[in-house]
Amino acid sequence: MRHFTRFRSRLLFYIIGLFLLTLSCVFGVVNQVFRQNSEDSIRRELIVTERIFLRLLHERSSQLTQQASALASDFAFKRVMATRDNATISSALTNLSTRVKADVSFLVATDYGVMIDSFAAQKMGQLFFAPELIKQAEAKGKAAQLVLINQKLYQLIVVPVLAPEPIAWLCLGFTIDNEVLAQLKQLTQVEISLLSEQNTALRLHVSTLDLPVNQILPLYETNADGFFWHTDNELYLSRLVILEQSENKKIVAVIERSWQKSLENFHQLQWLLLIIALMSIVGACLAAFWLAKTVSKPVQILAQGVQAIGQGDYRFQVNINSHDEIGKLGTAFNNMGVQLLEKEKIRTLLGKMVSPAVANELLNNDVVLGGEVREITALFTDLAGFTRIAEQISPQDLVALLNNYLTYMSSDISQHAGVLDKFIGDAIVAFWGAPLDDNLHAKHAVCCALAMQKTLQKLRDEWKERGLPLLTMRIGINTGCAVVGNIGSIDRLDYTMIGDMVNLAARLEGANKYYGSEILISEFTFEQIKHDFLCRELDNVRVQGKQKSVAIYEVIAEKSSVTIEQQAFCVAFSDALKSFRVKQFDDAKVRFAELVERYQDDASVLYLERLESQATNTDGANSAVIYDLSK
Amino acid sequence: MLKNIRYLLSLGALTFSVSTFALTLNGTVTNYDGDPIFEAVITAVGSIKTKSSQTTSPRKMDQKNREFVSHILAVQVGESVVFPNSDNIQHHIYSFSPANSFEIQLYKDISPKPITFDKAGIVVLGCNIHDWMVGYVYVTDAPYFAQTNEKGEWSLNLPADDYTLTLWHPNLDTPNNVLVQQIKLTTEKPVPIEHKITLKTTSRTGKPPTDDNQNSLYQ
Repeated sequence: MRHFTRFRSRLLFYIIGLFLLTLSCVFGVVNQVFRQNSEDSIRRELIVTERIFLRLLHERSSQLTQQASALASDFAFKRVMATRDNATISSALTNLSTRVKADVSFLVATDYGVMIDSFAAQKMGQLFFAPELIKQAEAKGKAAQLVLINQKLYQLIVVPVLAPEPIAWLCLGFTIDNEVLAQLKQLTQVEISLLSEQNTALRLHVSTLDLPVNQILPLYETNADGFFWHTDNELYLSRLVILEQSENKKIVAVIERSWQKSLENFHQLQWLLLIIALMSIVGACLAAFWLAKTVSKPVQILAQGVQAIGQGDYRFQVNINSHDEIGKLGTAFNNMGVQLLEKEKIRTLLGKMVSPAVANELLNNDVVLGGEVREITALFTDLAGFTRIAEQISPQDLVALLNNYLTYMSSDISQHAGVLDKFIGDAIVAFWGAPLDDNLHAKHAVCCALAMQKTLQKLRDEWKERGLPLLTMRIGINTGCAVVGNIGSIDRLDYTMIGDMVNLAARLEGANKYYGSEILISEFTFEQIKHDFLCRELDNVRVQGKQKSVAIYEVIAEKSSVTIEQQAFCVAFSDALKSFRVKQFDDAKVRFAELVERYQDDASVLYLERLESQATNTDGANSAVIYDLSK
Repeated sequence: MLKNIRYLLSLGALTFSVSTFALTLNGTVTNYDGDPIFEAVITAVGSIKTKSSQTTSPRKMDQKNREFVSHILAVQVGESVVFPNSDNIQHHIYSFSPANSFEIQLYKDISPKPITFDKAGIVVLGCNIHDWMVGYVYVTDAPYFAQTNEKGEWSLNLPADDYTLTLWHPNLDTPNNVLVQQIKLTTEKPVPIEHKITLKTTSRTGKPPTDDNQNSLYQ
């Protein structure tokens, strides 16, 4: 079956196989019936032929008898008989015999004694060898019999010599030779062999067949319809006819027909059948091929279509011009492609409106209003000074610029598995940890923030070439529990987040302005990413409505790519902050001044200003340490 | 007619000399169905040698309608027979019988010489040109003989003696076609002898072919 993996081959194989099976059945049946019929008809013909054969033999004997009777009536011969001069009688008998071309002749006295014998085989006065034949002639006026004389077959005719009563019996013998049989064969159209059986020994005497002389035939029942027998190369259907039968002697004729010759017609029929069969097979092949093609071609087209769909080409349409089941399948397939394309369009559009993760969630699950409490990390960004450039360029350019910026940024968010919540002008809101579970939401958010800054750096290079002002991006990140879900009306929903931690993230974004930093994170985020990112603590801030202050950190770099300078900078700032917090203001002042001088650090400038106000206002020293974020 | 006269004469003789000379022996020859057998020959040979008296000679066997009439003729040795031809065609009479072989070649309208039969025996007559024609001349040396009439009856005037009585018919179904019996005639009136015989069926009737036997083998 390995070779028939193709549908077309298999269909061809089955159709032709079935066809061949049917043909061979038909052929077999025809063969059987024809052979049976041939055999039956030969058997019947042989029966008829047997009658004709016997009739012909009888006719011949009648004819010979009439000839012999005419001879016996010869008056001159009767006169010779009256002379009783044997030599003369014998001579006259020879004369008579030659008139009818008899091969042997006898003259038998009324007492069955042999008077004259042309063979001289029997002595004068001896009893005639077939007295029963004379007796038969006495009763019926004539007699004829097939006899064996010196192992030759003769048709022996006995008629009386009448003067006018029988005074002797004239016996004339006519050889049955090949010539006689050839005549009989011409009339009967069968092969004839004459055999004698003496004491169970069978002996062939004469035959129309070219048989070996000592051919021995097994003896069959004579009343059988016929029997088959073989020579070396021919098969014959034969009948055994008993011609003469006495106690220990039998003369039989075998009349037979060549089986092969009888089947000659059938062989012609066989050829005809074979030609028809071959033509039918060719026809069936073509038909099967055509059928297979009409079935397999659309299947192939459909397979191509499925493959195309699998590769995302929903526009692929199959072209099957038929109205049968396959045509319906093609139509269904095309409809499926159209629907898939439709769905894909929705998915793409939805992906533009909402984050791909949310889009998938929406497409795959039923949309339900409502939300859940999850720990998430929220990210807020803003472009510093964007409002300013909005006045400098045309609205078209502005939109183009903004779209360009937002495209890159949203791409970064997607790449870091974040959910883009919304754009608010130039601001971007995104979060991690919902709707899909993400244990590393803080890390992903921070990593994304760094990537966004890097992307912005590239954009700034572009903008610089176009002569646009340089923009900086402020990012605030916070981690904590919030309510997330589809929020809105049933007609218009947003998958968004609500909670204090969201507000903190927004505040932290704004706080960058104050500290001159780019990425600010809360201590809650810091706790989750401190092993992966280098950060410096900037301050403790008070969040509106909360008693507890929150430490805020600036993200410097990913730990794997931290430079020695950054490391040193962080350590130096940390030492300075420690001095400030333990109120060693002089030491702190020296340290911050050094940081400002060395790194132009805005945060250090801020602390130096605080130290200045500390010196002028000693009363509020404690309160000034905690910055109120709501400002 | 001749027979009837002979019959009347012998009847007269019987009437006149019953005791001394002759007794009349009557008989019938039939087959087992009771059908009379015509022209069968009865001969009687007694113990006393008697020279039989000559009957009217020559005797006659005619040929009418291409057959011998009579079919069978009994004659005594030495008698002669004439063979006239009453047909308007020629006949060629022959006999190859050892008892008397002769031939009268094709003739008609003339009366050929009588043939004298000197030897006892059966002379079978044929016609060379008519195969079916057959006639029998029964030449006997018996002193007394007779032939049956159409009713199968015969009678012989015999002196009292012991006799060998012989019945002959060409188709009689016995060896040599004879039936022999011994009888003793005293002066008392003899009991009639009834012969019941079987004739061999033969197609050789001596009659010309009819439509029925046209294909007869002996034609």
